[in-house]
Amino acid sequence: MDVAAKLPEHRLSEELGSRSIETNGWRATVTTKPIVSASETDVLQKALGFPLPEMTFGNNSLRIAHAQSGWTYSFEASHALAGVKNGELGDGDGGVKVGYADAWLRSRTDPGSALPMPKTVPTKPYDWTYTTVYAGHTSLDSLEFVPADPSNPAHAIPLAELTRPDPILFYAEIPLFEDELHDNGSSHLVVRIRVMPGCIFILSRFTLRVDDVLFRTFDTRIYHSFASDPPLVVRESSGWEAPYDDVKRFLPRRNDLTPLTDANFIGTTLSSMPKSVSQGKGAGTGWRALGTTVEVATLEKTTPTKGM
Amino acid sequence: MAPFNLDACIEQLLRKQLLHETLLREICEKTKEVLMRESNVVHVSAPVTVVGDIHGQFYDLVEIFRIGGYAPHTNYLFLGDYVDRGLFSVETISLLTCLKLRYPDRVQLIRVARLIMLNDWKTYGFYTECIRKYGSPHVWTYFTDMFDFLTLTSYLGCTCSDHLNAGLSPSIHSIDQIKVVDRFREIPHEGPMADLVWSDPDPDKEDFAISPRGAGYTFGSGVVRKFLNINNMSHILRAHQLCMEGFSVLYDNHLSTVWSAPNYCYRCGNSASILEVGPGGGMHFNVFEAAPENERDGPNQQQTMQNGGNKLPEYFL
Repeated sequence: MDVAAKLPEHRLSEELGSRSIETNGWRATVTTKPIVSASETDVLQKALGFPLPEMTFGNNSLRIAHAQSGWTYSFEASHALAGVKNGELGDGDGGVKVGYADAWLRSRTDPGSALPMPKTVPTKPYDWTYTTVYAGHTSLDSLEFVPADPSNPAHAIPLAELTRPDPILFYAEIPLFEDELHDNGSSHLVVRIRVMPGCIFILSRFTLRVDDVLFRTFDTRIYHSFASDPPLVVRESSGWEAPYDDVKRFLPRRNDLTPLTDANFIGTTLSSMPKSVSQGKGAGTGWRALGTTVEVATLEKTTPTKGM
Repeated sequence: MAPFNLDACIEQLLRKQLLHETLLREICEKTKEVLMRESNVVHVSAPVTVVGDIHGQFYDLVEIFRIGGYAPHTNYLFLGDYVDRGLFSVETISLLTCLKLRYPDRVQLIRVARLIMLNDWKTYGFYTECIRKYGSPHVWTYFTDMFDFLTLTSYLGCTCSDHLNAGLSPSIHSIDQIKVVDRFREIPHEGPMADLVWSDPDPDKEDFAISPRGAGYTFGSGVVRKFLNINNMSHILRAHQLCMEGFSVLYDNHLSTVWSAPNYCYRCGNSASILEVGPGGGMHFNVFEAAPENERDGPNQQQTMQNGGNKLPEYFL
């Protein structure tokens, strides 16, 4: 491995709850802290208008910054949760109910029910699955991602390069939120980064399991090659979904359901299904985020001229 | 009397050594007999120390005994969620079961909320852990059979206040109704038991509302007040809600939550607490942090073991 022989210049630093790397004119900073406190919960809950996931890592973040252009790109829980639908769910929001919702309601509304419904006030509507298509956020509004050119090989995530076992200069896993949906499944958002000798690669992955109903994944991949000139950032976002039983069929051992709690297993299974299934009809929820989009952003080469 | 030495079992478990499978079967059988005689609503007298979720965090359970005192010198009321998520569910539930059997009047175990359908809870850690540590699902069966006999709720009688440990269900207005719920079966989604275990407080509302999940309720302060009035009580205590501080108090101190798994899932960084209720009904949340043993026998070491001694770099795609 001759790549390993010539590691690029890089500087690692670490302070309380925060780690960073500087290399090739970039700086990546990772902050991992405990879940939010009661007072932070109140503030965030008020701003969002719905109850927070049980584990909300509101002080965690990932931020990459390009020194020359001043461009930064970040991942934070508060921004991700702002993408969760607050209010009545409509077409395209992909709303679901728990698997036994019908049975539960019937047992309370059937004539002669032993457990009649009490006087209830209207339900506070929000997406209790915390589904979000958050793909990170940028500091410079002036610099927008534009659709990639499918014929340009630089406008794609180079899987071959990323599979190569080059030395990893910097690795971090940053949980943003997690909730077990009251034992009806699980919903979580985790961001990972690795800085390699030749590139920065980020995967932000939202994973949802609603027991006996569906699996859903929303991935965002960010790739930047240090060799790109002018500096180019590729962003690929994909939404997948399939009915619960269709994913369950892929279990290596029928009785061991542990893989169904593994985001990697779910992600791999969903993406290996025919596109017409996991990115077409999905789980029949009409979720608008099914499919894949690739976009690119070109950073200022040397002198930032635009007003910031 | 039991044909085995329970004190020796407890000592062995406190050293985090597993009991033999056949011994566990006997212990679970005997414990079932004890539980069968208990009512759905157990009356507990203060002083007592109330413990919330543990989730298989064995070292933190031992930490609880260190700061709160060992049974039988301290009376304990455990509110459920003993297994799953943590690394040592088997050791945790074995120890609690032995303590219950050894000191039935000083240790109370309440219904585990996290047991709904066979399929669901197999996906959590407890089942896999039993297979890994015993090579078969037998031990898992012994414990889960026993869980079905756990009591539903408890109330704590003292001279100046009463505390009930549960959520609330619209079809249950009084403690007497809880007494007639048939608890000797798995928690069904539909029944009042599910509502009891799963209803959530919503501080923005006064009344019951249907949960946006499509089943279950949220309840407001009016509901709590009414329930306390009807039953002549002053406080509801519940568990199963993670909070950074280890406890929370709502609705003018009429409803509080106790959380007893510090640094939950080895990554939340939260504090935990146990609630010490004094003989006069005074309440004190004794807050504690993760036990130091988690550092040398926690997820890092487990991962290293699985990878044959090397922590592999993550070439995620």
